[in-house]
Amino acid sequence: MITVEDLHKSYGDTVAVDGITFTAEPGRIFGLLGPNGAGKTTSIDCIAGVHKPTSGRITVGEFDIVRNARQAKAQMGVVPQEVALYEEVSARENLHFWGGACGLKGATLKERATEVLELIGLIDRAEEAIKKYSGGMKRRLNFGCGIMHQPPVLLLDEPTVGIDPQSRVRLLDLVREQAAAGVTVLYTTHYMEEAEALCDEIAIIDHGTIHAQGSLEELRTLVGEKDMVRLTGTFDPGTVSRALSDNLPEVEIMESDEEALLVSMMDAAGNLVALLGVLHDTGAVLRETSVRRPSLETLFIKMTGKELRE
Amino acid sequence: MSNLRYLLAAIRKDIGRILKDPLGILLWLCMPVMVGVLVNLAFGGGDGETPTAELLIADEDNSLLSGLLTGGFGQGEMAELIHTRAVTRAEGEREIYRGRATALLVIPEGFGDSFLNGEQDTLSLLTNPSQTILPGIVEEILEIMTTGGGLLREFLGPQIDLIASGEETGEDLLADQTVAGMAVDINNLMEGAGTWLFPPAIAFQNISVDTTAVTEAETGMVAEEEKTLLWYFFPSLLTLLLIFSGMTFSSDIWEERRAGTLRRGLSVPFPMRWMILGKFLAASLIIVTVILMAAAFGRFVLNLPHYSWLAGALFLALTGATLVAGMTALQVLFRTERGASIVVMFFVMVMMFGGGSFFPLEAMPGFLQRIAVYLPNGWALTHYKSVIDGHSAAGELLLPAIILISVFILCWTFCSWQIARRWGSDPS
Repeated sequence: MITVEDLHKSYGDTVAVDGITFTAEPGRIFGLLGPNGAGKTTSIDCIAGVHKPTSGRITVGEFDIVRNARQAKAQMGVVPQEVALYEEVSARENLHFWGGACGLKGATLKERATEVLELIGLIDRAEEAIKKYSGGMKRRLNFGCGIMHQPPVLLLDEPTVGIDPQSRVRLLDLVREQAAAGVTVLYTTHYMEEAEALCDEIAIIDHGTIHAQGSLEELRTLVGEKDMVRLTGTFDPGTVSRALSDNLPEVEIMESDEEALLVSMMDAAGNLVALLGVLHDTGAVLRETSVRRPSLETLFIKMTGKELRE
Repeated sequence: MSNLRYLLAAIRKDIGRILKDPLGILLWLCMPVMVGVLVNLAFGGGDGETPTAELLIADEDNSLLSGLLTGGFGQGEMAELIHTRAVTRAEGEREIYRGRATALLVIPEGFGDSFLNGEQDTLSLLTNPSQTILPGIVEEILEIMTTGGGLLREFLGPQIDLIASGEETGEDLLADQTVAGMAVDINNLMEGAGTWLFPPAIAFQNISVDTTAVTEAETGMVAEEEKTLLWYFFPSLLTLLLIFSGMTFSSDIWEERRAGTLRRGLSVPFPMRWMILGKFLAASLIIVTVILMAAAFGRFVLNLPHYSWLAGALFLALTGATLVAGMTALQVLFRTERGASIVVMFFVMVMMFGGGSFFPLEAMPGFLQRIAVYLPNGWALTHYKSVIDGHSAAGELLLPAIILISVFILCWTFCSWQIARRWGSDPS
């Protein structure tokens, strides 16, 4: 289990994490969803003991990461965002080194390396220098190094960045297997669909703050049944705002400027004609219209006021 | 115990990485070897023969004195430098104009008589304009010989006059009394001149040379005449090797930072210092191997007279390990690789040219020699040379070795602290 209480982390005047609190339970996958620069990696670094928190408390299992760093770190497997491996040596040698770094030794280390190589599907190329591997194979090995010592807590920092769809599916399956085996998994991503497909519980993070947190169902409830309608063209924000509140008060403006308008409304397909009519009366010129069904993304937009982009 | 196991794993890992990328090692090995070969060639270490001046002599006088003068060029070491050939004036001029000789010396008829009678005469020297150095050498030697002849005429004037008068009177032999008188006169003259021609310093110098020879044999120091260019240059090449190895191994810290292995290393239960120490020790083992092989090559293949070469080589390897740690400490001071590279390269250049690694310390101007001993490589080179030429016992390297180990520990501690602080996990 991971418990994070009121975590703050600053670098000089820059606040990277601004008071986040959550708990990740054993056997479940907890997702931290947010754009680049939201504070996900800093949070993982603090939990992994790479950086010392400015304030707040982090407990891994029963150990405090600051006071009992060595014991807390022994509970964790970390899969960093980078492919943190030694390119010149083989997959087996990488596993031996990182397994040894987590306390494995002798025959146990060798047997576990073979087991992991089979699990990640690299046993046939175990002795090859990994600089000859594809991006997906390296990512799998990166994951393998994190689970060598069979840690009860697994931290994964955007482990699928830049890999092919097939390797991504394989990797996500491996993560699910870990959770099914009772491991506490903390998973950061900026891929909405990945979070939706994988995580049992999600925290939406931006600017170092958690905006919403809960299971996927709980978060969907937060969005309600409203659809999102995005319109591009030429608008006068003030006139549009007045016209909508006078004629279609149930329509909620999410974003508005002279070139784009984002609104949230019930049954967008049925009410779209009315919306376009009101906008036409304001003198707006429309170029493009798109309707999105309620999703985690609509919640993200609602919570942070912006779309989730890479 | 588990820390030690982790340390050994880190050493094994880095040695594996280094050996699986032999091109990197070859690059830092090649540079000093290339410099060595170039310098050896530039300073005449190749197969070229010593150039010889071809001096043509047209002796139109054919006297005893002209015979002595031409014979003088064929004496001792001068014979190796100047090859003489007797020609007529016309032949000689032809050879010179065809560029087949260095110079033509013409001894005019009556030169011997003029010398004996104390009259001035002129020797003419025609030189080859297409050659630059060799004609100058011939001219210098001839000038010395004529000056010497003039001095002889000045000191032994009366005796030479006596000989000349005998020639004039047509007597073939001088009377015994006359010869005896001349001998006494010459002896008195030499005794009088001896007070300033042979001052005590010369006598002392002769004695001191003999004494030194005995001392060198007894204490095992390398005699000055055994110190060839290679003897002076070889230790410099070894330190050049250390500088390049320091630069290569220290820059690997950026590779680890880029890959994210330092960040991952910070998340394992063992402190970062063991991972860093593993890196340093792996590099040190490679350096020890290379330096020992190179020093053994110098001692046994090139037959360089190096005393305590093994202790000296180990001392140099320790210097190399400290350079790796020091340069890594320098690297982690910077947030960008570019900034670090510029500063490290600056220090490398200063050490190379100022610390006796590119030019032997002995070939550098005095003020630079004094500065050199304050640079890491110059300091190490001074201690190393003192041991290999026998001036110091191997045990005298103990204190410098302790200083090196202390600096190594300081740099290691600083690197570990800096990397754990933020440097190792900062992707910018």
